[in-house]
Amino acid sequence: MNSLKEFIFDIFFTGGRLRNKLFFMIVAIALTPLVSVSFLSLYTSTLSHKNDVAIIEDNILFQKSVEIQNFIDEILSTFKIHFNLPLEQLIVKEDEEITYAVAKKDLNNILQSIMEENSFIEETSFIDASILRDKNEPTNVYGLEVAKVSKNGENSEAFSSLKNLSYFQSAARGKDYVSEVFFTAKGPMVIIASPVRNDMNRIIGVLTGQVNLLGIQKIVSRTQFGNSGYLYVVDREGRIVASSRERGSIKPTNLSGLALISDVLLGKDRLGIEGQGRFTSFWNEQVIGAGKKLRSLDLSLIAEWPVSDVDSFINTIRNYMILFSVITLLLILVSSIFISHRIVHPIEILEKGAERIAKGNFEEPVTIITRDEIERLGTAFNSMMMGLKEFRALKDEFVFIAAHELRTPVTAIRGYLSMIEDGDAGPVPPKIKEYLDPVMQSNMRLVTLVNDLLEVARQEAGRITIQTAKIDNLGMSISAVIKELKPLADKKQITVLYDDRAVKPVMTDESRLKEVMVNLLSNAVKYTLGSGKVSIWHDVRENMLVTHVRDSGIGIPKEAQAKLFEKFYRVQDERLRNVTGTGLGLFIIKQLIERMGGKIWFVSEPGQGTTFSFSLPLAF
Amino acid sequence: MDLSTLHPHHKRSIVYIIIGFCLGLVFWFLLPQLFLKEPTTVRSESKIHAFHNPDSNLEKIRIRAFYVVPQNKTADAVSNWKEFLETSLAKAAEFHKIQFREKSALNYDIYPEPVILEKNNIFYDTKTTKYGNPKALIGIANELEKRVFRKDGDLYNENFSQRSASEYPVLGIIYEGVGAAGGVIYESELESTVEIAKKLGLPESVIYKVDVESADGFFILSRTFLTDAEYRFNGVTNFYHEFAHTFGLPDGYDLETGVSSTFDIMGEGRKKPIEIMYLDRKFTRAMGLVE
Repeated sequence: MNSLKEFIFDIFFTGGRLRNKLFFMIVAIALTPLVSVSFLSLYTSTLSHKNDVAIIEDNILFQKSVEIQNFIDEILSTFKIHFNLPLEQLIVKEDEEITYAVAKKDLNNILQSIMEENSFIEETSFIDASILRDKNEPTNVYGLEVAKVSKNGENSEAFSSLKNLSYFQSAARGKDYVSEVFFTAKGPMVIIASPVRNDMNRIIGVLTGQVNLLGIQKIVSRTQFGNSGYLYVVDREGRIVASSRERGSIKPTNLSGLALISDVLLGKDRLGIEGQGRFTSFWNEQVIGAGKKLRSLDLSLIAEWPVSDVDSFINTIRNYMILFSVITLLLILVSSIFISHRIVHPIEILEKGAERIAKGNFEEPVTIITRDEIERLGTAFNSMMMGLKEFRALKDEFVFIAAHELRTPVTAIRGYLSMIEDGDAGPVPPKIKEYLDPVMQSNMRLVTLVNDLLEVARQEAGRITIQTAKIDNLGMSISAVIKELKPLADKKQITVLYDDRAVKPVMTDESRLKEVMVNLLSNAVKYTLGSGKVSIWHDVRENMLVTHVRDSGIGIPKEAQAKLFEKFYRVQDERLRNVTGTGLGLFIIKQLIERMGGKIWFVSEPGQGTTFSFSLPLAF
Repeated sequence: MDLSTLHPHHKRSIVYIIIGFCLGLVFWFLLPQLFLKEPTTVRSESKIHAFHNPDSNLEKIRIRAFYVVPQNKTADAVSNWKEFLETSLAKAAEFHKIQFREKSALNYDIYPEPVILEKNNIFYDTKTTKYGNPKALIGIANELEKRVFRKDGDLYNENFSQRSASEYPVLGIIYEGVGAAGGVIYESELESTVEIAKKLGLPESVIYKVDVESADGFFILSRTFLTDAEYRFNGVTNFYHEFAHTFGLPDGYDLETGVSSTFDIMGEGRKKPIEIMYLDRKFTRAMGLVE
């Protein structure tokens, strides 16, 4: 967690690069509304979709429940019989002889018309339910089946006693009866029984019938919503009574194990967006279901809609939204990189321009085209650079003139001092000589400084001329320099060794080359404290002749190595207190070698000595 | 754009943004799928067994059906008995499948020839054929056991007589005579019917001794139920009614008065076509059907 906090803090407030900060700020600013809008859109579309699904399923359930209820009501009304006759019982039994109080033909006709009125009634019958009014107890024909008509043509008058059957007992007490659903080869069925009353509204019999619920199947089978939504009806125990799915796919089963169906069976309708449920159906599909109970027949209607079908359209929308979001995200990322680059790039140009100025390069103005404040800043920067360039030119001119003007008097002083020392003005007393020596040495340093300053000034003013030519006898030139400096080396007991076996003809300015060698060799001798050895040798690398000058001196500290070729830089070391120098020598020879088409570098280890190497183009 | 030139911060942050985006999608779409699903209650599996006898197994039942004719009734024997028997068995099997929700299968074999009994009908019917002629059922079952199911029997048929351990074997007898009865065959070490009735808690009148090892239940039905016009609507219903006694289902009507106490096939429904009949839930529940 801490690292994440540090990471975020680092991005937005501290450290890092301006480009990164801009990038993340742009991404954050752009993504916040994108993510918010995406999630809000998804949420609202999903909610709206769920609501639509709930409405569709609820409409189907309501519509079909009305149709089924009408079907049931129609059947129930069929069983409402009222005899407007002063009958007390349907049959009379005396001495085991049974006679009909109503003509049996009429009873059969009634039953036959009931069968014809509704094709789903399989069988119907009259049962006597007469009561002895004075004793308020059943007659001797109470519960006997009086007449029966079946769909198969059976007309029975077996006078079976049905007084112990629950449907008869219920109807005989005046209460309409609808049995639980049972399953037969001809389909799910129920038994319906209703009281039959006389003109005094007293119950004299029971009309009962066995009703096939294929009528419900017929209503349900026409149901479809979406591409594959379906409806089914279950009985009070959760067994499927009718279904709009293919008949072959309806296995006898019990579905009350599903929470949604269990709720509906218990009388809790599952309707609306809150009521609908998502579960695995009996047919092993992920579905969105809703349910409603038909209270009059203890049946429940369940609507199920496979999720694959329900969500197909919303999934397409969602996929498009995800695709859009991902593309937008990528565009934001790319745009952020581009925008941050657009802002930072001019600053980087200014940074590089400033670095060039710091190195003394005033020749390359910065180019910034943004048509805004940053472009104007670039223009101001260039103006500043031009001002600095002029200032440096004035400074160089001043140094050149000053050095030039100093050179004549110091040279003259040197000549006169030499004449005095040589006795041209008469014998020099020892005391005078003692005082004259430091003056001579200071004059020599002054002459060297003035010469070096003049050399630098010439170089920077472009007044120095380099004339390269093929030099076959480079070895001889170097040997001449060695010979020139040998007294200095001998004085310090420093051996100078030169291996010219690998020397080759080079393109160079011989006099300038000698300046280079004098400088390197005199440095090698100067910075070797006490006795030592200086080695010079050559090798060839990629069409260049490389000359190495290695000493066994004190070496150069690591921190000083990067600044060694800068003007007026001198290594600060207590041991070098008595070593004189202007700090311009290495700067001058670097410029000379580079103008002759070569490079100069060095390798040094403090206490181990230093090796200066420079390359010159081979002459062919 | 070269992604490899991106600053590590850029790369890391792009990864964080993508991960965040993906987590958002998971949160939005997957979590509701996982947690908003309706629970499903796993109900115990049905294991169909004999009435109030969970130790038995009725997942597969096999009726070995015979058409038996007493010596003195061969003239009354019908030639197309097998056709009627086949039809009745098929309808009974279909009814059984529906009532037990395909959790119990009724299979059958028909003995290929009519079995001419060794005695005249009076021997089997005895003095009374009351209550569906159970005496005839006992006598004929004993004879079939000796003649058909024992290796030394004159009608022994090895393939027909084999008993599968996974099936509940039932002997079905279509009798050329009077009869409509059925029952369960229990093995008992007790000698007298009095002791057995006492142990089972049943009246002694419904306990009979029988020497049959080839079946766990048996029933008898007069041939007339299958062929005569009088029973054209309920012949098969009676066939199944008597068969249902072989796994212990009781009658749903009073044997003396005929007053029905149930409307299903064991009671008043025995008089109706099997196509519109059913088994009462109290019976199927007591036989292990979980619904």
